[in-house]
Amino acid sequence: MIGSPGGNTNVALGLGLVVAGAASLYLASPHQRWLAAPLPARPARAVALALLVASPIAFSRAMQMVPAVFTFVASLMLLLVLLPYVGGALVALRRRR
Amino acid sequence: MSTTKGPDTIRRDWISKSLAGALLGFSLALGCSGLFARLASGMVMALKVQLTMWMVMPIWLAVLSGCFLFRSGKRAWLWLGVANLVVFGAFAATRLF
Amino acid sequence: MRSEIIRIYKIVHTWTGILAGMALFIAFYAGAITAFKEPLARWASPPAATSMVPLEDAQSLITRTLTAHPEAARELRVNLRPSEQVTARVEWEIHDEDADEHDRLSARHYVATVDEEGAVRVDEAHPSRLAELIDVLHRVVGLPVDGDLSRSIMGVIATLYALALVSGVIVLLPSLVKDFFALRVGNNLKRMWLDAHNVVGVVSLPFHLVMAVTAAVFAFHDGIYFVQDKMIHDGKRSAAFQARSAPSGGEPRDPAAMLPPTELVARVEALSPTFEPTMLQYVQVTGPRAAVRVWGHDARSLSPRAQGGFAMVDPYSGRVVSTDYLPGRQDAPQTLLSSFFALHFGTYGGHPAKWVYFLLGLLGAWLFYSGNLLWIETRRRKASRRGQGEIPAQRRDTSLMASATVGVCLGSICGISLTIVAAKWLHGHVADLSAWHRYLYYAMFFGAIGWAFVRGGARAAVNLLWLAAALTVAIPLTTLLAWLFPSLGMWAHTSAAPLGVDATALAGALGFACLARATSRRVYEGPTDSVWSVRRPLPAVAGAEAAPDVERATG
Repeated sequence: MIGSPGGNTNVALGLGLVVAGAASLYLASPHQRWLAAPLPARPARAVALALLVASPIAFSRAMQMVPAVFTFVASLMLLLVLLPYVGGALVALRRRR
Repeated sequence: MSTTKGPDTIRRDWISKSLAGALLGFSLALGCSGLFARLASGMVMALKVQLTMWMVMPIWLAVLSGCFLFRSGKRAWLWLGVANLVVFGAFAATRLF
Repeated sequence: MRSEIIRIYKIVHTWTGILAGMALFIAFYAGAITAFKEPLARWASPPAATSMVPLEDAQSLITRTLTAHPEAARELRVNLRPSEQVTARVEWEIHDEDADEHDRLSARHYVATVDEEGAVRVDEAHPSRLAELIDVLHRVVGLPVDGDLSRSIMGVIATLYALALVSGVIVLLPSLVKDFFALRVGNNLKRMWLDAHNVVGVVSLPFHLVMAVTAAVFAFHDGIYFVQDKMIHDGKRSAAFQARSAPSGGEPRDPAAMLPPTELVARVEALSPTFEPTMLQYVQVTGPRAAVRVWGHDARSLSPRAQGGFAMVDPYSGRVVSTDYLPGRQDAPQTLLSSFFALHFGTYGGHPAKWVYFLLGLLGAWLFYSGNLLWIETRRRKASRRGQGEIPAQRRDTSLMASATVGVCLGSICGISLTIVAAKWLHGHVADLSAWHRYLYYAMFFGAIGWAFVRGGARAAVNLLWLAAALTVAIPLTTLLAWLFPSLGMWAHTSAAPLGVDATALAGALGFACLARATSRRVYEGPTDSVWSVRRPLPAVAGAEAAPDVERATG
């Protein structure tokens, strides 16, 4: 599907970066439910910012800039919804034990 | 919306506000699209026609969802009516030149 | 003033949600599936009886077909990439004159092949319309036909949807930053449903705004064009589109003089090395405006339409007439226009974007479902905290809303799974499979609604979730049966896309089974002071279990 050689690698890299960026953003929030305590907010958000800037750049090596940004934003939206849901599921599991 | 200091309440006026938002919002959106079409006279016709069509819905939906912010139904009709006059006035003016 | 604004928009949000929520659930659930329309169409297509005519022989097949069937010259397709669903080299459709231009389900479909003696043979084909039917359910919020009336209803629903989005955000503005990422699972059910609803609505707001605006445009664009043509363009709109077609000439032209498909494809491939052509659409090739649209995909670019993008070529001279819709070759205004389509259909970024759209679509469906749950939970009558044992009767409107939500939402899920399964079981056993797909969907849908009102929302939710799990797991089981027992007359495609449909259905069935178990616990063991309980109230226990509450939870 991805045309250029190395395109798939760059798409995978972009996805990895957006997952890592979204996760560090979530883990720095006081509402996070994965860890016993949230990550220190400032450093975690700085790392998140760097990762989230790098992600569309990685996508743009496999496609034009406009679809690269769209792919990044759509994936980010999905992840920022899913992460709290996974957190909620973890809470529910812990409560049942 | 307004600089006059009235009592600190908003009248609900569901019917008149909704009608103002729906009717005057739609005509306002059409007027704006017409103004755009006049001002973008250098653009290729096929493109201009499509962009002109696409801009109606966002403007209309924005007015429709914002119209409940008016203090009363009367004010909604008044302000949106004035906005319509201005836009259609400008649209008519572009025809003269 | 500020709190009054929020109160007003809360009423707007509640009413738009009630009016449009369930229709939007269907639109989003069917729309999420439509992200994988092509894999689903391949899954549902029976194996081809004949092999495709080689591409080198396509030119003579086209010429001879057009001689024998001049009506095919209106619009004829030459497929470049065979798949389970694309089995004929040359095919065309004849549309009913009275039918709506958007109604692809009623068209008659013909394919041209070459028999053993080398003669052209034309047959009417009956390709599976399953994926198209689910797309129609998506486009017109669960109504059967994509006609003018259905589209207007869709437009009104999309307008209400936009209002619900804006009002929902205004209501949340004061707590937007504070509660970002919050999903507080606990005894306070209203808090939990509210968080579960808000996290989807807030985070995926850009996606939903795009969907609301594009859906409203798709519904109303004919009308807007008509008014603008009169008011703004002085009736020159249609002329603007025609001027860009091929130059006009005189008498009917001879299709034998056209360049062969391989040559036309080569002209377009020369323009863009990353463009992968899939199909040639011959339009009016015997007339003065003869044109061939070379359709295809470009993984590096966004596609201007759901089925990809195209370059327009003059089939007689080979001249490229237009690249306005060719992915990767569009200028800024064209890219802007294409973006509106690409953002609705998720036609950019290859497979990852399709999966993201599928999941965002399912989450969208959940947004509307949870909105109704929240409405019910907000109006719940709770037992007193001291445990005096008096279980209050629930309001009638909440129990009716529970039945309607369960019936409509789970009914559409069950109906879609049932009609998908039927694509294999009924193939070859009924004359008009498309009609049967519809009958089965609506029978299931209305049956579920009836069941939900007869049994009550609580019991029906458990029943229908188990039914949804069973019908959805039947999708991969049918494929497995077809593979194990070929004598059943069904088929099991083993390429990645159709197997992906089976795998996704299996995962979906597991999801429904988990939901069914959790709902069952809630209904049979959970607190009794709710429409979601069927337990005979045991006074002492009920009081102790009632969740500590929270009238002020949402303000």
